[in-house]
Amino acid sequence: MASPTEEMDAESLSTAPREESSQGAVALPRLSTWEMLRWAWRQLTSMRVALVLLFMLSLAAIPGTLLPQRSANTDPTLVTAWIDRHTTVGPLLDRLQFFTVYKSVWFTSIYLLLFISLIGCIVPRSWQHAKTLRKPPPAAPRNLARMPVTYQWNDSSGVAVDAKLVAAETALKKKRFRVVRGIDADGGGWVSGEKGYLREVGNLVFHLSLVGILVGFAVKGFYGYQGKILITEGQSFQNVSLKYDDQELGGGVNSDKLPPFSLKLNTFEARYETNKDSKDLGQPRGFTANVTYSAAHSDQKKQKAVKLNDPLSVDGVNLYLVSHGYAPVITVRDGTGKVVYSSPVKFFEAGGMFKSTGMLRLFDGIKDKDGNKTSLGIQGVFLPTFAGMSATQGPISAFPAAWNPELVLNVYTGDLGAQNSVYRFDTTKARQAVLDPKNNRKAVALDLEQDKTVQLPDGMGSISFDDVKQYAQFDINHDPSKTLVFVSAVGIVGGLILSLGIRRRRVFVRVKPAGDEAVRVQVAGLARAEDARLRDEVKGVGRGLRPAKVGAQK
Amino acid sequence: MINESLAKFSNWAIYIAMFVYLGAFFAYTVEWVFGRKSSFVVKAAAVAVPAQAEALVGAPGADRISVPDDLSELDDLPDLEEPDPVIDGGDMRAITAGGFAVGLTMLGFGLHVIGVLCRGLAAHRVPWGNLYEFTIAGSAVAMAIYIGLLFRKNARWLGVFVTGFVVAILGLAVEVLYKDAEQLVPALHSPWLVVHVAAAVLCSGAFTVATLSTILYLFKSRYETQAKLGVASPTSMWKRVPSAMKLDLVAYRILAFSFPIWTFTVIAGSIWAERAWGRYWGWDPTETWAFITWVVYAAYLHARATRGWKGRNASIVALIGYFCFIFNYFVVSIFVNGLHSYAGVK
Ligand code: HEM
Repeated sequence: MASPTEEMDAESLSTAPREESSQGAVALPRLSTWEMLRWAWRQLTSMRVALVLLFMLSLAAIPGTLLPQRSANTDPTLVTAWIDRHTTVGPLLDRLQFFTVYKSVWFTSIYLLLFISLIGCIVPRSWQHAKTLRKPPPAAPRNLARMPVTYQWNDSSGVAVDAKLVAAETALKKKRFRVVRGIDADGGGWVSGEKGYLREVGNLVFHLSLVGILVGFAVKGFYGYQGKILITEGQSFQNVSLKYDDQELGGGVNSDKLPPFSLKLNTFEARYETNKDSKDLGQPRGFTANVTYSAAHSDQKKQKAVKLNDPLSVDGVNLYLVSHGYAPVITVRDGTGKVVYSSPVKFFEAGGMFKSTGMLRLFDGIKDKDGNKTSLGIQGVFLPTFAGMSATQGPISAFPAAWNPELVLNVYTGDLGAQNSVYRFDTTKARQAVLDPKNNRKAVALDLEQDKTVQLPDGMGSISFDDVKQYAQFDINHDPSKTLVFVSAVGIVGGLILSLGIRRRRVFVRVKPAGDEAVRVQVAGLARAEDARLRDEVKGVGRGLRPAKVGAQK
Repeated sequence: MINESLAKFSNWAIYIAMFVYLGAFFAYTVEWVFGRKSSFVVKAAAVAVPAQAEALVGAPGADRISVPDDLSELDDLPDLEEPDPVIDGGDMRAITAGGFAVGLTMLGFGLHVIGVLCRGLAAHRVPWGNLYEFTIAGSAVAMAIYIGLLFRKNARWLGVFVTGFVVAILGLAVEVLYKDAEQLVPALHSPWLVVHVAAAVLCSGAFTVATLSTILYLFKSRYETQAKLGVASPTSMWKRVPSAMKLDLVAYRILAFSFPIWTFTVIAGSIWAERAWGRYWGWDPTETWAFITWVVYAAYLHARATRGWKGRNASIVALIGYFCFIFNYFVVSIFVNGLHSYAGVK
C-alpha cells in the first residue's frame, strides 16, 4: 500500500513541472558539457522561460504592425518610400529585417524556441499523464484533518465499517470519481476518489494543437504558393506560373508542375449604392465575377459566380476575387489607317468614384512625320462617369459605374524611359504631342459616345476609344496546410475549454470503529488550484453518507 | 434600405442611457460618501481589517474548515465565503442612494440594450458593423456582466467603477466614433463576421470587467499590506471592496472564461480571412494585435500557474493584455492601415 503519509499538497495533483525556485539560476558549479546541456534543456522547458518567450514573441510582433512590410498582399513601394524618407534608420532597419518581421531570423528564432520548449514540456507530460490515466488514484492520506476541506462525525446507527465504505465508494462512483478502497490495520478503512482527468487531457490537447499550427505554418511556407492574376472580360487564363502578375512560391513547389486548370472571365458585375441622398452614394454593394472554368486534364466546362467571401476552388487551388477595375478598349491606327493595336488596356483605381489611371506603350508600327519609326506612349485617366473638369483635381468622376465613360489622354513620342509602375512611365525625355491644335491643348478627353477618335499630329495616325470592359483581380492560393491547421484550431478551442473548465479534485472518506457500535466518518477534499465547488462536492458526499435524521430538514 | 427613424430612435436611446448611467454613477458615489461617514462602518472596519489581513497571511490554511466531533448538521457550517463588504454602512441616506443607483443602472441598461437592438433592426443586420456599434454593444456586455454579478454575487462594490467606465466609453462612442447606420461594405458580408465579431464583443465586455477587478485588486492589495503594517487609514474606501484575494479570483474567473472565447474569436477571424482574402493568416496589423493580446493573456494564465508569479505580477500581465486589446480597437483599426475595413471612422 502506498504510504499515506506522503506529502499531499494541492500541487501534487498537478502534472505541471515544479519550478525549482531559483536554484537553477544560482551559482553554477563546474559542469560537464553534458550536464550543461541538460541544465539548458531543463531551463528551456521550464514554465518561467516559456513565460519569457511568450512575452518576447508578442514584443517582436509589434514592429511589423507599425512599419510597412514587404509581403504579397501589400504595396512594396510603401517600404521603399519609408526607407527613402528615413535615410539613417531606414537602411539599418532594413538590414535588421524590420520590413520582413515575420520572416526575420529573430522572430523565427523566438517562436522556434517557444515551440521546442513546448514540445520538451508537453511530451514528457503526455507520457506521465498516460501513465496516471491507467493507475488508480493514490491511497487516502492518514490525517484527513490536514486537508483543505474536511468534515467528520460519529455515526451510531450501527452500520459496519465495511458497509459504510461500500456506500462511500458507490456514492463517489455515482459522481463519476475513479475510486479505490483500502483497509487499515486498526480495523478502519478508506476510500479515495479522483476526477477531472480530462482537464489534463485538455491541456495536453491544447498544447499539442499549438504544435500542429506551427507545423501547418511550415507546410504552408514550403508547399504552398500564391499569386495574383488580372483577367479582363472575355479573356482566359491558364494556370501556369508564368502567367501570374505576382507570385510567391514555397521552396518545395515545382513551378513547372502547377495544375493546369483554365478559367475564362465572362462578365464582371459591380453594384453600387445609387441612392442620391445617401452619404454612401457610390459605395460598393457587391461584386460578382461570372467565370467558366475547367479542371486540369478535363474538358468539362463549369460555371461559377465568384464573389467576395465566396472563392472558386479548383484542383486544390483557390481563387479569390479581391479587386477589379476598368479596361477601356483602345485602338491605335497608323497614318495609313492600319490597326497597330486594339485591345483592352487595364486602368487602376486612383481616386474617388473609380477615377483610374493607366498607360500604354507601343514600340512598333508608328512613324513620325519624317517617316522614321518612333515609339508612342499613351498615359491618362479613365472616368467611369465623367463629370467635367475641376481646377484642382483635373477631370472628375461622379459615379463608379460606367454611365458616361471618358478617357482623358496625354500622348508622348520619342524616348519613353523606364516604366515606373503600372500607372505611368517616365516622361522626362519624351516629347508630348499636341492633340488639340486649335486650342493648343495637350490633353484631350475622349468620349465613348461622341468623339471616339482623336487624330495624332503630323499624320502619325489616330487613337480611338471603342468600348469599356472590366477586369477582375484574383488572388490564387494553394495551401496544403489548411486541414491540419483547422483540426489544430478545433483542438485548441476544445482543449482550452476542457483545461480551463474542468476541475481536478480528490475526495477521501475514512471510516473507523469508534466503540459502541459507532463508527467515525471523515470526509475530505483536495483540489488543484482554484476550485469553488470543492466544498459543495465534499458536502454532497458527506450528506449522502449521514444517516437520514428525523427533523434535520430545514 | 436603412430605417432612418429607427436609427434615430437608437441614437436617442443610447444618449439617454448614457445620462441615466451618469445618474447611477453619482448615486453610487453618494452611497459611498454617506456610507463612509457612518460610524457603523468605522467600527465594522476596525474589526474587519485585521481579520482580512490575517486571512491573507494565513493563506495556505485559510480555507481549511475543521468541524468538531459529532457535528451532524453539515448545512449549518459557517460559510467559507467572506462576507460581502458593506458599502452603505447602515446609513439611511446611503441606503436610499444605493437603491436609486441600482434602479438607474437597470433603467440605463434597458435603454442601452434597446439602443443596440434598434441599431441592428434599422440596418437589417447584426449591430456590430463598425467601431461605434462595436463599442456600444461591447459596453452593454460589460454592463450585463456587472448586473449578473450584482444579482448573483452581490457585487455592488463594482457599480461605481463599471458605470463610470461605461459612461466614459459611451461618450467616446457618441462623440468620436459615431457613424450613421449604413449597409456594410461587401467584404463584411459573411456569416463569419457575425460569429467573429459577436465573440469579440463578448470578450470586450468580459475583459473590461476583469480589468476593473484587477485594478481594484492592485489597490486593495497595497492597502492590505499597509493594514498589516498598521499604517492604513481606518476610513479608507478600500475597506469597502472585497479582499484582494477575492478580487483577484473574480478577475481570474472572468479571464479563464473568456480566454477560450477570445481564442475562438481569433480562429473565426482567420476562417473569415481565409474565405475573403485567401489566407488564414497574413500578419495584418489588426490580426497581429489580436494575436499579441492572445499571447499576453496566455502569459497571464501561465503566470498564475507559476509559483512566485501569482498575484501582483500576474495581474500586471492581465492589464497589459487589456491594453493590447484596447490598442487594437481604438488605435490600430483607426490609425494603422490594414486590410480590415472595419472602423469606418476615417
Ligand atoms: C504559444 C504558447 C503557449 C500558449 C498560448 C499556452 C497557453 C496555455 C494556457 C491557456 C494554459 C491554461 C492555464 C491554466 O490551466 O490556467 C496553459 C497551461 C500550461 N502550459 Fe502553456 N501555453 C504555451 C506554451 C507553453 C510552453 C512553452 C510550456 C512549457 C514550458 C507550457 C506549459 C504549460 C503548463 C505546464 C500548463 C499547465 C499549468 C497548470 O496545470 O496550471 N505552455 N498554457
